[in-house]
Amino acid sequence: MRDELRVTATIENVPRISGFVRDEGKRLRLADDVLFDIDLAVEEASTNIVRHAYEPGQAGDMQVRIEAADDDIRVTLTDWGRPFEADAAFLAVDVPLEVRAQGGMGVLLIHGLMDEVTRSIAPAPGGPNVLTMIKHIGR
Amino acid sequence: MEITQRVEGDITVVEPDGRIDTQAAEQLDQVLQTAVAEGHNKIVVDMSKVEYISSAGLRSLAAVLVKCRDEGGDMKVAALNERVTRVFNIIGFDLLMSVTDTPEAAIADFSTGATS
Repeated sequence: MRDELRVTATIENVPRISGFVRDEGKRLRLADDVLFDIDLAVEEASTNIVRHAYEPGQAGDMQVRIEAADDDIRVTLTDWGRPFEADAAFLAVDVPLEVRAQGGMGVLLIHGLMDEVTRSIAPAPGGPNVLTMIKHIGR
Repeated sequence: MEITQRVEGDITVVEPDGRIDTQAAEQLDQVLQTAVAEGHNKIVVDMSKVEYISSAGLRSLAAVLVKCRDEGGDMKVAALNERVTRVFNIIGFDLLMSVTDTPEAAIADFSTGATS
């Protein structure tokens, strides 16, 4: 079972993506704790797309898709712009407060909240970049 | 998001109510930054009514905490629910700032100089 929402990648549309995810989560009868994690991970991932995927003044879309299988929930975020360069530095935990005050915690949160996180980057600019986040639910 | 504020002696208690998503985080940041700019460098953020916080909210807390400490004060966070606690732990905020069970405990810590 799957469903999706595609919107322009603007900060105003991030709540629409979050709202969609929460509605889908309720429809799929996800446990509150599971839904919280997915909700937050999707907000972080879609905010990263809004901030990094497209040049200022260049409109582009983001799409969220949720698929439920027996043992996991698979959420994909797709954009058609510049791939977000999330390297290992984003996952550092032992980081001083002054660095945290600059931001950049979204990737670490995504990896901490979701069980599997993979990125597929389009071979050519403008092709789809897909972030796949999986939450194991074993029900 | 509604944010209330009260003063207890020289301590400012800020109480956000609801979801601190990216947009609400801007609002919280303005309230906290204004407090520090006005010389309130002892701040307790009462999180008892916060059900959700995104990295934008965490960034704001970190930035304001740095400023409070630079001014010789501190910012303490209180009453995190289980899910918000987990978010703090993923980022390691539990090791970087004082987290107490209640705002009263945070206020008391300011008097004793304890760093929970």
